[in-house]
Amino acid sequence: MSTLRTTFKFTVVLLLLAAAVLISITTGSIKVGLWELLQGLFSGTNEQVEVIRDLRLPRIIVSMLSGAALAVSGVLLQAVMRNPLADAGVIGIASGAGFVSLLLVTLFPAMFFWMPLFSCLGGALACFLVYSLSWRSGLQPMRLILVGVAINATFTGLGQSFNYRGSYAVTSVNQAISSIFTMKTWTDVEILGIYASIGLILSLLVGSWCNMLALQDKTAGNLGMRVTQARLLISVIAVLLASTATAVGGLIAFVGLLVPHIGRQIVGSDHWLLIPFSAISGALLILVADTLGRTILAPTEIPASILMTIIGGPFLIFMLRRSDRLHGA
Amino acid sequence: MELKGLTFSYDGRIDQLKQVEDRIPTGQITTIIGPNGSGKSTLLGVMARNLSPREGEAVLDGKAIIAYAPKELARKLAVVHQHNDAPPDLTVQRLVAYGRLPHRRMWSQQSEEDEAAIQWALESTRLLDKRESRLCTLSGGERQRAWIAMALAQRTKLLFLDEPTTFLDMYHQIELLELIRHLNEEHGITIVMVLHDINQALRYSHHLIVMKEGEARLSGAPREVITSAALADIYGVKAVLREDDQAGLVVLPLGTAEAAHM
Repeated sequence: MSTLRTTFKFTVVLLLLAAAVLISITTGSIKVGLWELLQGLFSGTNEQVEVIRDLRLPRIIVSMLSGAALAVSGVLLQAVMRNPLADAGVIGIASGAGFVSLLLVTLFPAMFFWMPLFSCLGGALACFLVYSLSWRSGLQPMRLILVGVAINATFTGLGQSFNYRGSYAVTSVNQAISSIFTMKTWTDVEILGIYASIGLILSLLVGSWCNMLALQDKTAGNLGMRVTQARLLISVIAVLLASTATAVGGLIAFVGLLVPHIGRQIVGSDHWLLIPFSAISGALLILVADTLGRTILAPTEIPASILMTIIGGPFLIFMLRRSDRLHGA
Repeated sequence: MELKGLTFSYDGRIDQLKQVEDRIPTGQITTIIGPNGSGKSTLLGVMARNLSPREGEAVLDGKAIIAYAPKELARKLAVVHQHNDAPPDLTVQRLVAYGRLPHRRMWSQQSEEDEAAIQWALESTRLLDKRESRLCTLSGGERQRAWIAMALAQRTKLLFLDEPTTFLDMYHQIELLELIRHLNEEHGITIVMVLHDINQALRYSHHLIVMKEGEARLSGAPREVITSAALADIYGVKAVLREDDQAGLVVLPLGTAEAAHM
């Protein structure tokens, strides 16, 4: 693909993201003009702008970071599992992350700040289970998805069972995990900013490994790649991204499925382009979903996760049908 | 390369390779032949370090192949597998450029040497005009040549090919074998390949390894190894050998050995 065309595609999606940020920041229950907003942000005298800065701005940043992290985790999981259907939400990494953080925060409520770390443990546990249970002298696409769906159902069920215990701490933590982006603070931005940035930067460095894994393990090995180590490292980055996004932004399925698929159609399968493109597109998609969710039926909010499920469910069916044709299953 | 007592098992119980001993002659074409399930591809897989032997070792330039760092081995030995997989939008140029990875650091740019090797690999496989084509748009023969070009870009002295002609029609089979012979004769590349067709093996090889039930039953120059008795023993086939002015030694199968005894 020519450099000019690639630059054009990246510019368009970046402009769309910038436009979405501007629209999102200026629309909602409190409406301010762009100029008023900019003045207020710097002068600190406009009360409405203060509210936007404390409530809407963190929400926008968290939704963008979550979208970017989930989309990139999808790209990485698909590379490592050699399966276009792998997504942290579909194969149980996100629900594993949610459940384990819920469990640990219930047992040790004082360690709330460590939730992203607990999340990563849960995500890693789910990822390990999916791998080990679906591995049968190689990764088989359909088996992997079926095992993933079963693991997802198990962790989701376990997570939901906590709802019925009725303790306040559990309910609030559960809300934090499964909720929408309302009430996100600058602390959330800080936590997600640190973890997701590390994951996103690392993901940009493993593009060539992801490209090699698309060939075949033995071919990649014959080209001098340490396949097992590369696969492990890429999986760790994917789990880190998906788990922290889940811990802070809540469970949102299908982002990691939809965005990489569309990304491949637009910029191709070269991971040097696909990873950054998916990060930007993922941020755009979730920001748009969240902005629509809080504006179309205002004052009622439709969580971004629900909007994504409505779009993502049919999309997964479409992908499964395509995959049937590809693998002859 | 020397093969010293190579024994391999997929499940730890039944040995698919049993104490294989041989020496791959440098600068020649060695072909591994044998019936289905005799361990041909397994032997190549162990020699290429895609499979780990339970016992024994393959020694390359005086050093066991397991002792090589992955990139170091990839600069000495290139492999073209029977089944290959790549994203449909991958271009020939990008695929061939992967062959330079053993010579590059992880995030380094392509050097002039890399460019030259890619150019040479594309020229040798007559794919220069297809360099911008996507793999999914190529014919079976062209696609196979593209994978060979990737292996050539590694600039190794040793090239392994696992059943390179299997999915090709007769024209493309011959075309590919001529290319392999050219690479051997003109560029001195030592070739080891697995073939099914015994006449192709006779025609294009300097050295044969004949496998049966995981053992290297026979090994040597094709004319010494392939006899009517050997064909009956290894393949269970009654066959005659004819000398042709143009084709050289040719095997003509007459029927199965059981049928001959009926």
